[in-house]
Amino acid sequence: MEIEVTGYSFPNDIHILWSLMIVMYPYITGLVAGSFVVSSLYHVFGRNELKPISRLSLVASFGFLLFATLPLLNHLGHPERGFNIIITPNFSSAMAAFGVFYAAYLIVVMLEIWLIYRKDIIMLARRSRGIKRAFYALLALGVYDTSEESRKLDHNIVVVLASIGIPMACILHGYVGFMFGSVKANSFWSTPLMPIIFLCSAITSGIAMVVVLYQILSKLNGARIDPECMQSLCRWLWMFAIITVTVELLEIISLAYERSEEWMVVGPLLGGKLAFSFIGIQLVFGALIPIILLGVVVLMKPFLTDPLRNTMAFVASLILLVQVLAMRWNVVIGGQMFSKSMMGFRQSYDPGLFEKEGVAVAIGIFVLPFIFLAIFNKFLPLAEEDVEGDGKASAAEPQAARGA
Amino acid sequence: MEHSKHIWRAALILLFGVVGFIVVRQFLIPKSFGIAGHYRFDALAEFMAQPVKHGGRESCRKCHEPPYETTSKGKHARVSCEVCHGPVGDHASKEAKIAVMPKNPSYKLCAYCHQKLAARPKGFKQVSFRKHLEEQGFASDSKIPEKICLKCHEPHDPTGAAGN
Ligand code: HEC
Ligand code: HEC
Ligand code: HEC
Ligand code: HEC
Repeated sequence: MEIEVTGYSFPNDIHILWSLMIVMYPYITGLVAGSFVVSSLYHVFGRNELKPISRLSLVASFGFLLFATLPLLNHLGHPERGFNIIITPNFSSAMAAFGVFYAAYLIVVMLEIWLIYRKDIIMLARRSRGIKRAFYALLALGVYDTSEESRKLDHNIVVVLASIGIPMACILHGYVGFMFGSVKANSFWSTPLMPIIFLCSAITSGIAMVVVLYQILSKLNGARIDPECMQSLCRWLWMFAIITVTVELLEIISLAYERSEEWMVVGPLLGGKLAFSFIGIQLVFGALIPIILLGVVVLMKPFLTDPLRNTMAFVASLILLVQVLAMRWNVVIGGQMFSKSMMGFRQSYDPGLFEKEGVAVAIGIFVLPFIFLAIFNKFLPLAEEDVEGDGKASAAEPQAARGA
Repeated sequence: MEHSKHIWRAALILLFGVVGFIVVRQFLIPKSFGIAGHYRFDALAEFMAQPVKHGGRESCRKCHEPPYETTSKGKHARVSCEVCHGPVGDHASKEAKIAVMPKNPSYKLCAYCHQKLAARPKGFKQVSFRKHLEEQGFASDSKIPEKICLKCHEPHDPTGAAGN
């Protein structure tokens, strides 16, 4: 029943106020951090088999970054005041201080993308004319230098930027976990493990998103999905999925084992009100199934055909994306379901379809990064131009990389 | 370095951006910001200058004598009109009505105060809605009808005529 409150709840502690938007915010920032980490595996750690997705993952990170704050702005209202956290940053508030950090990270990613695409931009500028040419020339900052030395310089700077970017991405998302972990009035959230849990699941969701995007992009371009790349992505995804589920469970298990006072309410919560989204989605459907699927992909590599591997990876990734969303839901909404008395439950929360912070708006916000990616792909190819590859890497601008 | 022209250009743009931001920021910081803390000090004066919106129950009396009388005699005498309705300033000027005053006939209004909660003072009258309705002979179906409480309770005098 919609208004019944059970147990001993404080009178002013009945409603769930952090809505679906607050679920979407860490979900989208998680995708930012996760896909950035994937791109860095190639750019910094030299995992060359990941080359085919190195651009895609970086641009995806950028795309999600552009829209990551929308849920918060919608939730808080008065979006025009959002800039105040940059104009008058208050460094005693983690959330407000973050505006500056966020902006810095945006610049780092933007520069990295620019350097990586610089050669393509120049090729396209040379090839096109009129407005289009002016546009690409502007992007190239008027310098048409594709010499070996300049490329080398670019590469070195990219390595530096990506190296700065990794800790930044980790902090960017660790901070979201920190936000929850530092709410000391809420013992379900208040644990130093929280940033780590968020970070691990962020990387999981990021890799999963890259798998999905890569496969879709390849389908659209009619290009071959690089088996080595897919295999490697699966391996990373498998590892991070396992780590994620482990730390998620670790937190719960230590609560349960300690029989701490908050377990009196968190236990019934996870097994009762959250049974479907926690046990059902987050643990069984969302973790067990993809971990088995990916385990098969990783361990039985010689026995798998490419299409089979791709399908299994795709399905596992989609499920993991749902798992991470469920985890966000369970933490954000679940953490608000009980009263601060630790002895009673608040009202339940079901987001409406068309309300201000409802399902439709959440979907609308989530679609924006993909629209951005589609538009980006119109101007600069997301698919990696593989010179020695099968030769039809990109349908959009097939000559772009090999022109010179 | 002859092949680093583009880097220098990018760096220059970045520098312009940062310097531009710092300059623009100077103009965007409100004048009175930081005088007494991390906020715009003028905001205090602005808030103080805002007209008072609430008037207390006496402010309703001259235009709504009947409900005023009923309420004053009933159990809700200590509950302000504006708690259940809204601030007088949004509804009436000194002489006349200027806007519709909200009235909320839903059981959710009563729930603010009367919903059974273990943490409320023991002496305060609270009911578990479903149970209460059942006791009063209302079959409990899945959803509580919105205006159900008003069937038996007059909001201005909840134990009065309409009730018992
Ligand atoms: C417990 C909450 C509550 C309090 C306190 C309360 N009201 Fe009401 N009032 C209501 C509700 C609910 C209605 C709507 C009744 C209905 O729709 O049948 C209402 C209706 C009214 C109406 C419109 C009557 C009509 O027939 O349309 C007036 C006028 C009014 N209230 C004035 C007052 C004044 C003046 C006070 C203070 C002296 C007051 N109320 C205090 C809940 C309250
Ligand atoms: C200056 C006179 C005046 C004052 C003061 C005033 N009202 Fe009214 N109010 C009116 C008039 C006129 C109406 C319209 C009555 C009608 O249509 O029968 C009205 C209507 C209402 C209604 C019915 C809904 C509506 O807007 O038509 C409610 C409820 C109400 N008043 C509550 C209050 C409460 C509570 C207060 C005190 C906080 C208050 N009023 C103060 C003049 C006043
Ligand atoms: C803002 C809080 C508030 C709201 C809203 C409110 N009430 Fe009350 N109610 C009170 C208070 C305070 C008392 C007086 C309790 C006392 O004197 O012990 C009271 C008393 C009562 C009583 C008398 C209990 C008794 O026998 O002593 C009834 C019945 C009642 N309310 C019904 C309602 C209904 C029905 C509504 C919804 C239309 C409602 N109340 C809305 C605060 C509220
Ligand atoms: C069918 C008529 C009916 C309906 C509907 C009804 N009540 Fe009552 N209510 C009564 C009667 C009669 C009493 C007095 C019973 C008593 O004192 O035991 C009462 C008593 C109360 C009391 C005082 C309880 C006490 O312990 O003395 C509260 C509070 C109350 N009702 C609130 C509500 C609220 C809130 C609703 C709407 C969900 C509601 N009632 C709906 C008939 C009704």
